[in-house]
Amino acid sequence: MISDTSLDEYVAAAALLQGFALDADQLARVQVVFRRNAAIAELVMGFDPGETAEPAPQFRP
Amino acid sequence: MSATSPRSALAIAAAVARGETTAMAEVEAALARIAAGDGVINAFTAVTADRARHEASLVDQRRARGEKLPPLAGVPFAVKNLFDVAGLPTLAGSRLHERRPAADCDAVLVARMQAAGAVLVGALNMDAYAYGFTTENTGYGPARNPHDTSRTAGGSSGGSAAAVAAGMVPITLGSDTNGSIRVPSSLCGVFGLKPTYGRLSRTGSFPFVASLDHLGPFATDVADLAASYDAMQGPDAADPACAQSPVELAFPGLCRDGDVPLRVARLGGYFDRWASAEARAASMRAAEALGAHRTIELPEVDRARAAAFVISAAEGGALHRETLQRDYDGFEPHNRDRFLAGALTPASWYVQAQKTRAWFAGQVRAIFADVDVLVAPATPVAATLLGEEWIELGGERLPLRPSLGLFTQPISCIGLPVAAVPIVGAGLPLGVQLIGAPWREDLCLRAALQLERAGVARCDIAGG
Repeated sequence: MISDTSLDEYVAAAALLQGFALDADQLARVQVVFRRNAAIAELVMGFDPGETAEPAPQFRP
Repeated sequence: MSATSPRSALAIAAAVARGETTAMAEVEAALARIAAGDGVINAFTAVTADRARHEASLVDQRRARGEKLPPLAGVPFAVKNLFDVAGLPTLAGSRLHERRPAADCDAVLVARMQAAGAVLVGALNMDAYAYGFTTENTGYGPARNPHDTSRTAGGSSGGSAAAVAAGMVPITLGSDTNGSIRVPSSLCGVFGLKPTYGRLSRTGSFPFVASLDHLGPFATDVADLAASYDAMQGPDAADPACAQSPVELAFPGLCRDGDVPLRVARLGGYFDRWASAEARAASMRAAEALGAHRTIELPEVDRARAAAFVISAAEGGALHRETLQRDYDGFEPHNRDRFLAGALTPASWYVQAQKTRAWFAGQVRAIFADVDVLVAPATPVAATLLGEEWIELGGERLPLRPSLGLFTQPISCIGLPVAAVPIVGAGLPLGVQLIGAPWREDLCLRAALQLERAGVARCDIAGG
C-alpha cells in the first residue's frame, strides 16, 4: 500500500504536469479524492486477469 | 401531480390515430402538467412549448390528410439536457454550457423519436456532466422525487425519471454510464431501459465516459418502453460504438404467446451483501415471480465495479481537463474535484481496469449459456433525503452518492442490456434490474412484462 504522503506528492506533481494551477485548498481536496481513487484502484491493480483478457484500449481499424 | 394524469404513450398514439384526441390537445395537457408540477419537482430546465405546438400541428395535419400515422404520433416526450435539441445550448447539467452556441440540429435519438411521431416538450435536469447519482445540481437545483419531494430523484438522469413519475410526460430519454437510468428508475418507481452498449446511437449527446456511455428510455409501462426503444434503434456510422447491424424490434414479439419460459436466476453474494432488507426483498420477489430457483454469484464483482470507477474517473477527467484548467470555480462543486483527480489517473490503472473489465465480461458471458435473465436490485436503498452524505450498508458506513451505483456499475461496465423495473411494495419505490446477455433486450423486456402482468411490477404516478 502506497503511503498517503506519497500519493499526495504524486497528486501535486501530476496536477502541475497536467497544467492545473491549484491553490492549497484546492490541492488538498483533490488529494483526498485521489486517495479514495487509489484505494479503489488497488482492487484492479491487485488482480491478475490472466493472459486471456485483451489489453486495452483496443484499436480496431 | 395533476388531475389530468397522462395515459400511456401507446394509448395516446392510438387515440390520436382514431381521432379521439389530437396531438395538440395531448401536448397542451402535458405543458399544463409541467406548469402545474415542475415548480416543485424541478425536472425541466427548458420547456420547448413553441416547438411542441408546431410539431403537434404537423401530426394533426397528417391525420387530417388521411395519412397513416407513425407509432408514437402525438406522444409528448422530453430528454435529459445532454441531448442536442436544435435551438438550445446542450447544457449537460452545467451552467458553463449556457455560453455555448445552440445546437443546430437534434441528437439522432431525438430525431428518431420525432420521426416516430413523438413531440418534444422540453429538456430535463441532471447531475452536472452526468457524474452523480442524486441530481443535486448546484446550478439548476435538485430534481425532487415526486413520491417524496424531500428526497432525491436519483441520478444522473433524475429529471428524466421524475418527469415520468410525476405524470408530466409518458416517455423521457436519459443516459446511463454507471447506472444513470437504472438508479433514478428505481428511486422514482418508473420503468427504464439501458440497452446493450452500442445498440443506440449517441450522436448529438454530450459524453461522459465514451467507453461506457449508453442512452435509453424511461416509461410508465413495459409496452411504452419497448415501443420507444424500437423507435430509436438503427445503425449510425457517426457513433463509432454504435453497432452497424440491422434493427431487432422488441415490441412485436413482446406479447407473443407460446414462448419458451425464460430461464431466470437471482444474483446473490455481492448483491445480497450490500442490499438493504427492502432491496433484497424486492429482488427475491421479482425472482420468485419469474420462476427463478437458482441464486448465482458473479465472480469478482467488487473488482468489476472498481474497474468502472477507474475508467470513469480517467475518461471523464480527460474529457474535462481543459475546462477545469480554465474555469475551476465555475465548475459544479459536487464533482469538480472528482473530475480533476480523475484527470491525474495513472495510465497503468486505466489499462488494468480495461483488462479487468474484459475478463469480467468473459466470465459473465459464460453464465448466459444456461440463463436468460439475471435479477438483481437496482439500488441498495430507496430514495434518500436530499443532502444526505452517508449511508450504512452491510454494517459499513459508506459515502452515499457513489454507493447508489453499487449494483449498477458492475453491469454497465460490461455493457449488458438491463430493464429497470419498479417492484410493487409498501414504502417508497424500489426497482430491480433484469439483466440479459448482450443484444438480448427482448428477453429483459419479456421478463419485465411478465412481472407487470403478474402485478409484481408497476409504475405508480405520484399523487395520481
